[in-house]
Amino acid sequence: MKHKKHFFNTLFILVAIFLGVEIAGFYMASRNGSGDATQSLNGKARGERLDELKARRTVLRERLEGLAPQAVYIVIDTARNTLYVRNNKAVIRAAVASSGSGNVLMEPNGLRKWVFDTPRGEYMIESKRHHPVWIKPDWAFIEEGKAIPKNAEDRLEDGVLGDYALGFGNGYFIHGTLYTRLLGRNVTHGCVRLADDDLKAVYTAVDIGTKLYMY
Amino acid sequence: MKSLRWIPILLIPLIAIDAISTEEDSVKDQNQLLETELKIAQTRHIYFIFDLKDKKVYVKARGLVFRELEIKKIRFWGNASVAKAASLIKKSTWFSPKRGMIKPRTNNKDEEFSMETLELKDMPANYTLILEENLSISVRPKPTDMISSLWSIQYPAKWYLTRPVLTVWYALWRKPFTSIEIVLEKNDARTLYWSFLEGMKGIVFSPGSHP
Repeated sequence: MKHKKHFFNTLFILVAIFLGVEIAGFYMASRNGSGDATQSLNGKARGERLDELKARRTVLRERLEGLAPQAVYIVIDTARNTLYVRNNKAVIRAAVASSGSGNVLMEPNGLRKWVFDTPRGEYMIESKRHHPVWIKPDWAFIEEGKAIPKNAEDRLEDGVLGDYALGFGNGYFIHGTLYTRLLGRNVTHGCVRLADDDLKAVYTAVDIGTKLYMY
Repeated sequence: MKSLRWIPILLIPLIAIDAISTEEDSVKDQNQLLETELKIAQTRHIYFIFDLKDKKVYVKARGLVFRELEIKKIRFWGNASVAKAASLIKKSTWFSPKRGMIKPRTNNKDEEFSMETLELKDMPANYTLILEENLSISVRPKPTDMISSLWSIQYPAKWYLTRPVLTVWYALWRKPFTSIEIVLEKNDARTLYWSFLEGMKGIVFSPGSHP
């Protein structure tokens, strides 16, 4: 009986503490705002009249719009495996693509590791090639269980990249594919694959220097 | 009774002043968002805007919108700030997707078709994005059936029990604490998980939160 009473007393105290903390937490959350960088901005804006604020908004919008590419650009949605050629906000062409598989390859001796992701962020078309020849990198030989050739000519493979290839740095390309049934899936080693007609349209629409956004 | 006729006329300036002040606040908020976004948009990175007013998540770069996700429901708790920019520290989930390991081939057979890949369907829809300065965004999928609806009952209970305690805890350490819970369509939640990588910047736009 004594133990039972002691238990209920302890439970009552714990519940009371918990409720106290809850009330304190609710009270603190209800007090709006804390000191951070946004206060200084508000302070600066506080003295401005409505028309001045609107004028500043127009300037800020124009500055933001000025950051966007002024010509045609490419957007690649790696989650949905879709490539868009856009001009300002208008979509000129949408194409089903294949992007990186996210898989990992380890060299048998464990010295090197490759992660097959399509890179994210802003890039630029650095090269345009007609009838491209693939220079097979080391990982391609390792994946196939073959020895890495010493002779550079043994790395050349014709006809696997389609009719065109657009390079965007670090060995990544937008190119064609022999595996058209895998378009729309994440199966590549980081490059972006397109069907022949889409590839031709993209190749024709863009120039070297065209911006490329991947997310 | 005749004097009552003047009441609406007297109220008109008050209503007008209130409307101007509301518009002023709204423009101030927009300016603050634009200032914050301008800083991030000058970099080569993809960034996110969680617009709690319009209930949208935007995937953007250079000020351009690439994807727009609709937020079905929002809960907000903590230190209010109009346009807060923070980098993603980590994505926290019970079952994070695992990358497949490629085994080098032993023969000349084409084995690409049996390759396991990491795709949108493998991404979780229930997770927490932990950003800088103790800002966390919990993402939940919209319940689609009876079981998921019943399961989702726990979220508000957990929210109102734990948030006050965490507020007090962080206040003791003199640290800010902000917690947001958003409900998205399952596929949108997965898209956000896929696209939001560690180190990326996000802006939480919470208009009307003037200090």
